Amino acid sequence: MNRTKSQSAPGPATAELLDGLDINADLRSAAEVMDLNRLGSLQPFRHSFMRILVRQMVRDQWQVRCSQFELDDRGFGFAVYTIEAKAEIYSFVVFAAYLQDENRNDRVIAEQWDLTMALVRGLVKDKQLQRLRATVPMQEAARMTADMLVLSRANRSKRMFDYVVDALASGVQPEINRFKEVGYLCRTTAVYGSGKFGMADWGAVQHQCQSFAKPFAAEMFCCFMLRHFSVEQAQHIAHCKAPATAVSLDSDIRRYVGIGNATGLGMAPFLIKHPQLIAQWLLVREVAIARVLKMGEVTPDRLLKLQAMIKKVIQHTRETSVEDDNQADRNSQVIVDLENLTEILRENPALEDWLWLKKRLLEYYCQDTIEIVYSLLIELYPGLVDFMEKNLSVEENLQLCPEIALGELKQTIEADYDWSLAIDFKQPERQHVFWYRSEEKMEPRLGERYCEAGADKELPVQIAMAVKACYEKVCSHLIRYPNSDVIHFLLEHSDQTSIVKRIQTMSQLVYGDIQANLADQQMQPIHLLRAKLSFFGVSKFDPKSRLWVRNTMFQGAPLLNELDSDQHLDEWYFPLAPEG
Amino acid sequence: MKVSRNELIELLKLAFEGLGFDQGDYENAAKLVTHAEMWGLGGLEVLARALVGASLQPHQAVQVLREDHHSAVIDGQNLSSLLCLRSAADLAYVKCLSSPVGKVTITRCQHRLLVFQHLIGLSLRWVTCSASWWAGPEDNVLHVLSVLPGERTPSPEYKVYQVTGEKVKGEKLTGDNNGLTSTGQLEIYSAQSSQAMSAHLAELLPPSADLIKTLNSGDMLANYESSLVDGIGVDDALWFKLVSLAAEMLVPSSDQSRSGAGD
Repeated sequence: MNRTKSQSAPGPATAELLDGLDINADLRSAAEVMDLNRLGSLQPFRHSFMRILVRQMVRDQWQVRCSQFELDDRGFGFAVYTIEAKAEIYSFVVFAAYLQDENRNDRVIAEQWDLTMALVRGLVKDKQLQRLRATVPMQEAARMTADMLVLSRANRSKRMFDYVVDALASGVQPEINRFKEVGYLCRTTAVYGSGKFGMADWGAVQHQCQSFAKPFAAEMFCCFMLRHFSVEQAQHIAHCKAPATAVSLDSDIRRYVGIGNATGLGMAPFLIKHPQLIAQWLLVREVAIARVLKMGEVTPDRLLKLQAMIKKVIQHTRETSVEDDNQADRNSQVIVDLENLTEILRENPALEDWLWLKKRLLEYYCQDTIEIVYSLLIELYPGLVDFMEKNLSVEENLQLCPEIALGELKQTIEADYDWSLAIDFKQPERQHVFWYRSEEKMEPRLGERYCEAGADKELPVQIAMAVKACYEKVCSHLIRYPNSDVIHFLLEHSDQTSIVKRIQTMSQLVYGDIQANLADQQMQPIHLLRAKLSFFGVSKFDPKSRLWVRNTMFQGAPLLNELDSDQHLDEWYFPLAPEG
Repeated sequence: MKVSRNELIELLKLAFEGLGFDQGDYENAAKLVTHAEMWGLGGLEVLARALVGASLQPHQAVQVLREDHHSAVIDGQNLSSLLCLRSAADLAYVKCLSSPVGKVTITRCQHRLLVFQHLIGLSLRWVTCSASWWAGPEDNVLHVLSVLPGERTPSPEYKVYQVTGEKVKGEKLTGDNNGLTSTGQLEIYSAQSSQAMSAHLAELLPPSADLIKTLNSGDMLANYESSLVDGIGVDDALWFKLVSLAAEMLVPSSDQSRSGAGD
């Protein structure tokens, strides 16, 4: 089988990325990279969106000031922050309301929240604030306007928020060990962008908001601001509660406070619906790895730095608390692997290149460890990889090549979708589950095909089965018309247009479709979530079932008042609890 | 109400799926309507008309009535352009690869204005393309849509001519022509050379044609950008009609289904 896909000549943007690399020799194969289990081992890295955003905020010297902070003694009310990002002005508006404990729910189907918030273009005037006050707390139930980039909501952590308020009010700093278990005060449960509910379309954001023109930059920034506000709110309540004794959160602890996130199945169909984008994100990561392995000079300083980073990851993983047994076992294995690697590196201080390390990774260590070490290697060579930040967006357009001989399409399927042809869909377990949208807020859900209603309204995420069905029709058509072309096949089988477009488009890319049968009984949706979350840059991946996960965002990142200093600029990956 | 491009496309997809369109059709149709609206051609108004007629019956196979190396004729079966054009534009593209101007005629085709996004799609393959059709109470109004490919964006144009005096037959199919009629006839042309297309369009235009409406490229692009940035205006009644059609594709909730997302 080909090391990589059967792509034709890459386009100019891809050609720039691949400069100096041999696709077949230097890049990992599509079969390896796009395998669902592998995707479920991906780790945050230098080009994760949160990392890129923080570097951009520092580089462009963003100024954020609180222009209104109207909270009562219990922390209810609103706040407005003004953001000057180069020549652009934005406002972050957050509303804090009372929420009974029993109504606090991480699911998208919840209807009340502790905090609701929005990121909007320009300065917020009184009239606009009134409108936002009427609509933002209603979330999906209200219509938004085209000046809004992001709409989100969050809930307080039951375990942390009141505890931290009480500690601060009594004049003491909260226990750092508590933050190792829950690294945030609030947890966001949905972050909407891309034109939902009347908000600004991604096309408009991309072309008119330079500060947020990279994928998910506005959504990440909203979470960054939520992190800041959550601490401000807790401190405000503490000071109102006990003005004589209250203290503010120590800055080292404050930096270790991130923002929680609960992510469910909603994220999974995105990966199937945007195959070109996902293939591009993976290409960027894989090219970064390949460039470092091939071009990265091994120096004593870099070896020492790698060892220090590995030590940090071991400590970070030890400080990561998860309930899920499988995830706990995986984390333990990472620690075992990395301790072993530490020894090996110590015994081999004169490495000449990284290929030796690659070989060892593949021979001895688990997938999680491999992906972690690759993420760390990328950190050593910003000069080799940082130019690729701009390559994370693509113009999405599945393009048909109608003039191509049908026999060629057949060969393409055989070469690039051999993994789907190998699946026997006649076996019931290969079609065990189906994906659908619930009438409750259109929440994506999984159903069991043989015992639940709704399979007739299935989401079209079963790419593997669609490809195989198409292949069978292509073969049958070729028996009757051996010299046929794609257009004449589609004139007879117009229902195949969508999948043929996808096959032809994805076969032009280095990395094609995710190689998985999403209807399989054994399929783990959480792998899809992890893949996307790794590109967001989250840490503390904490599965709550195979369907949803909690994680932490921006833990260890610089604080707002540190954006003009490079003290903590870019070293906040795999964050560690402050000592003491 | 104002909606975003992404939001409108997603709702339309679901609504068309609710009407029974297959995946290729509903993805296609959602873009045809949305882009015809954004470029200033009134796509939503056409859709509103289509929703009250019988032209959105899905799953009728495309029938090629006639084909040679530079042209083809397809029977649209009185379906909307949202359905009956399916592979017609792609076929026009294939035809222009082996002749100066490729031509595909679709007979009995409704809502022909919605062909527009197909032309934009063709222009992304760096071919010049156009579509024309006759309409009006006396079948004497000629509509011509043209799209030139461009480095940054395609360059579209829409012109409408009134033809007085002699009855124009042009290349319209008649009852003598294999039983076909000119009712609802749409022509799609594509060419690798813009000169070849210009010459062809000049021939198409009758000498007695008066230009009665023009949407030039600048106006259309401005309309598109304004729709993208400020949102697309949608009549409330149409929006809620689409929402109710989309609801057909949502599965009722139950305790069991709630557990299928995380509990």
